[in-house]
Amino acid sequence: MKSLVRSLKSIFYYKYSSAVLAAVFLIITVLLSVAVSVSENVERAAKRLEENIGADLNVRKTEAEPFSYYSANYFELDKAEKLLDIDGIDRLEYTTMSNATGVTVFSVFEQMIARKMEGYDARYGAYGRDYWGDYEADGLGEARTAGDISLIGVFNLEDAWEFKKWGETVIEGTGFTEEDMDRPVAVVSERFQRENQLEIGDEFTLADPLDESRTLTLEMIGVHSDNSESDLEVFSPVNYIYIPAAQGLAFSQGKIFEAIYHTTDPGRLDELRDQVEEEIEQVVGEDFDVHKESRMYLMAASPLNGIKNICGYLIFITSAVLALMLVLLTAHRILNRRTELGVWLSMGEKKGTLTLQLICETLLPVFAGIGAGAAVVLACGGMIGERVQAALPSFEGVEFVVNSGVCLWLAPLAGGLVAGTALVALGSLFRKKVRELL
Amino acid sequence: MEKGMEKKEVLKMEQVSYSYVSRGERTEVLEDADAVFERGKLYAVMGPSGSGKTTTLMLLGRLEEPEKGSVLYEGKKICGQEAQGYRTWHTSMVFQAYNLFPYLTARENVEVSMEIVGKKQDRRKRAEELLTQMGIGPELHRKLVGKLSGGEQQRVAIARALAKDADIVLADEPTGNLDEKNAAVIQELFRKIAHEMGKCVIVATHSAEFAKKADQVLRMKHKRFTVVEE
Ligand SMILES: Nc1ncnc2c1ncn2[C@@H]1O[C@H](COP(=O)(O)OP(=O)(O)O)[C@@H](O)[C@H]1O
Ligand SMILES: [Mg+2]
Repeated sequence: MKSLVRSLKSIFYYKYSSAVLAAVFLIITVLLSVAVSVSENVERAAKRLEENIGADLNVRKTEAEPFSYYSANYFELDKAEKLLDIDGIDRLEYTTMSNATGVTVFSVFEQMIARKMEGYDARYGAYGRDYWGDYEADGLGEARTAGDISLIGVFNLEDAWEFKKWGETVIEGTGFTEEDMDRPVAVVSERFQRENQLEIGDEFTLADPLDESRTLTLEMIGVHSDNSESDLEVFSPVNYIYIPAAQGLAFSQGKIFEAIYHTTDPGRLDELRDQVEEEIEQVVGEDFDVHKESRMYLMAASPLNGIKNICGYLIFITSAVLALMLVLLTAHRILNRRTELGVWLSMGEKKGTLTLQLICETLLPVFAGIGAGAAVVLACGGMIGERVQAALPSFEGVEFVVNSGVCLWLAPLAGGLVAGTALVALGSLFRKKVRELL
Repeated sequence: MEKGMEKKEVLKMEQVSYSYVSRGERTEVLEDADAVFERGKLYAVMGPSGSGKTTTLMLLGRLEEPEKGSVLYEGKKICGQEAQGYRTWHTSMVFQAYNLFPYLTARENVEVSMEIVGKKQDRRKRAEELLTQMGIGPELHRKLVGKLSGGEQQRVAIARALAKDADIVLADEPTGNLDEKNAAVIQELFRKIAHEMGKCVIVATHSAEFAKKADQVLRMKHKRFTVVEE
């Protein structure tokens, strides 16, 4: 009690020093609260992003070369759908692939052959099975007779494997929009468009090479760049015509080339990958390759993680500087009172009373500052939160709150440091003879 | 207890030797020094700077332990463990630099002295009494001591020293920081404390004026005291 009363008197006497100490801790409490809150909210935002973007597992039959869409590599969508029961898999997309023969258009490959036939107007002349004999004469083999246009059904053009691989872009018209997904539309290569002299909005018809009565009429809504470098023009993506997945699935009669399983839990991607591989092999009865695709998530999360790391460093550095400052300040304040302590001791005052008084003298302003900081955070946390949220658009959708939770560790930390330093500093003084202090 | 009943001799130095050793060099300050101090008397310890006045007070106040010989309080040697109790209960110190607690008022500075020794009386009343006796008007009692002049501060310090009612008052150059007028007031106070309150007052000083007021002057010479009766 004596100690507390004396320390309060001393605090008021050394009011500037006490006020500065309290102010520093007020500011630090607010800053740390913001930094910790930013860090916490970034974590929540990253979690949300993780769920929103998720990651993909691309599943293809083992024999499937990434480039070659052969029929042997197809499997039923029905079977792939069974894996949706796996906990953590929440969506299935797929890629279909069918061979097709042009009815009102030529494939680029056919154009090449047609040019060899002098005087023949490929565009307007009749064409069909009559020419396959000549292809064989060129040594290209019978395999080609199955139709040399590849129809690829995709959910998302930009994410299609080949499209991404060659870094293609839509150079004319558009890719697929949400509404296009139910319509018979197509995005073709620049060369295919040029050779067939197609315009945006033109329609063309393709047929199943094995059953020519099965036809599909497509509207060309877009043209993509043609960066591919294939020696064999037949295999070249210039012959790929992209269509919406549902159209592709209908044409391929329920078979898919690739299943793309989506998870909102990218953290479990490796575990899910093994589970998916095991189960798809069991369901289909053949070997599969499963590839992880989490780049999108990682890319999107990296600025958030950057902010989190910066906040982490900020909190660490602030805390370290704070701790050092507090230790030096406490030691300084006590060593400065050397003579006074000597006088107290010469008067017979107990060391415990003096220790308590000096600890309180530093600790009370520190606690007052932390308390005031907490009050400021409580009062203005919402406003500070809004400011920070406005400055960091990544927080969209995450309610940003600044809370004063830091006080829960800041106060004991400060208390421990002040008390510890005081005990050490006073210990060094009390070990001396009273005479030496005077 | 009546004053007459108390033994007059209160403090005694017997064959005390003391030396400082710093950086391997030994400074002998006292060698087989003897002195006797009585209640009700004012003593002046005189001598040039560095002659050992402060050291003498420290030995008498038991803030230092004699190397040889002993310091006796009421005829009994003060052993190592008893030093703290002796210091607290039987001696009070007054310093050249006043050494008041700046964050306390004049009255509080006096009160804490009683607080430390656990005096149960009305401390505030006693503090005000003492301050008034030392010539500090009531208007100054509630002021922080920093607001007081040097002379006033030293009077507060003396009041603080008297508050715990110890029978020995040790003062190290108490007028060293004061002008003549103020010094004279302080000297007169010390004389009163000895003669009217019956304390044994020992003052280290090199003021000849002060020496004139003392009942006995102990001059430091050849590491001993030469008594000059006034
Ligand atoms: N702590 C110390 N260490 C070493 N020598 C000291 C110390 N204190 C005092 N002395 C020496 O002891 C002698 C007496 O000092 P002191 O008692 O302070 O004299 P005075 O008070 O008369 O000026 C001086 O020579 C001084 O240098
Ligand atoms: Mg001295």
